Amino acid sequence: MTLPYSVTGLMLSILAFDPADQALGIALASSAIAVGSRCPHLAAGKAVVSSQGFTNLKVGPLALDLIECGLTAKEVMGALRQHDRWMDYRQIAIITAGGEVEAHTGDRNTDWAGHVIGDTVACLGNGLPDKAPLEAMRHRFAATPGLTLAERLLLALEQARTVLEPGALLVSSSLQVRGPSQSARTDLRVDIARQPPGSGGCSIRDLRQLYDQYQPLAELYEARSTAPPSRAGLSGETA
Amino acid sequence: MTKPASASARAFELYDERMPVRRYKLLLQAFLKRRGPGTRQAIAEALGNTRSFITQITSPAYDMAIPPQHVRTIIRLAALQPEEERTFLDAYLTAHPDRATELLGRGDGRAITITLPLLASPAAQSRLESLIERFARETAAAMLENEAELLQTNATAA
Repeated sequence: MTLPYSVTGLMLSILAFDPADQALGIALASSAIAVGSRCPHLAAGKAVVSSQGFTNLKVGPLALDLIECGLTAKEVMGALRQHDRWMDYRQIAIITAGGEVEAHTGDRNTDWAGHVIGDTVACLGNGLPDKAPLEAMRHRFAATPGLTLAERLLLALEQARTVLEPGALLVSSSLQVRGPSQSARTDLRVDIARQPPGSGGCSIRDLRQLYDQYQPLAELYEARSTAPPSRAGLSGETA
Repeated sequence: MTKPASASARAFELYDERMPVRRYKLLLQAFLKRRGPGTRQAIAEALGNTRSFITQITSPAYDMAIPPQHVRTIIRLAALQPEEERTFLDAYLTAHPDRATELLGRGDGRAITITLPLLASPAAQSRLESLIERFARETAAAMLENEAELLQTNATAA
């Protein structure tokens, strides 16, 4: 099958490490469907990776594997730069649980593409008119230190939405946050917006609705894993 | 794009069939960089090979696996830290599980110590140590192999 590489879209992501609770997280939005299945990669207590642009599906797992083997984020990015022949097309960011931040934006990404890096946070985008959405994300994230990492990431994504054109194509979104323990997690996806973007649909808005419904139940879902008899059965939900 | 010959350096396809070998070479390459320049030259001198050969066996851009008889020497000359050594050996044995006995021993081995003279030339010193180590390892491996064959013969005869 010949892929239509000429088709361009837009992509936003924000990755962060929260030193307060050692959580790692990533939020993304894209004009393509099911961005959450390809671009975010997270290993609890280790690192979070965004592999986007013309995504190499193997980059994320390899980067996490090398981080888990003890390489630094810089060493991992160096290895990827040296050995992925299409790095000019890639956009990659790595944040480790030690707070290291590395990012790469290849010259062949579409339209305006780039990244901005803050203290334990990285914002990436391509197919954009300019840098403004990334700066909006970074500033919003920096302005909300008292909130949970999931909320901060989502707020940042929503802030980027406000500086994009009203008709910006945002078809899918994703939010992942993991604490250092293996059990506590937020892993939400909007693989396709409930309404087509041409009819006012927006995956970030759908992600917010999903998050607001999920968040009150997150503690219950976690408790059920260790104490099912005493905590199960809310509203007949047993998943 | 023409696919380059396997003996030449190239940017590889991540996770193709050679990935297990490239994975431990990626790790070793990063560890060697931490040691700084000069390590490859020291390894080349110790192994009695050219830097080109060392580049081929330590760079993931080449398909050549690291010969098992060189692994311990490389670990020593690269001054891998215990965690680095464990990580590298784990990755190496994942790619070459048949080398586990050779690299790790059978767990019931006996360590002996010999005293070597201190030579004026560091390169000659490394070469001497490498040769002694290689002789000991290959002799032990050959005797292990003979022992295994003998056990198999006896089992068949019984």
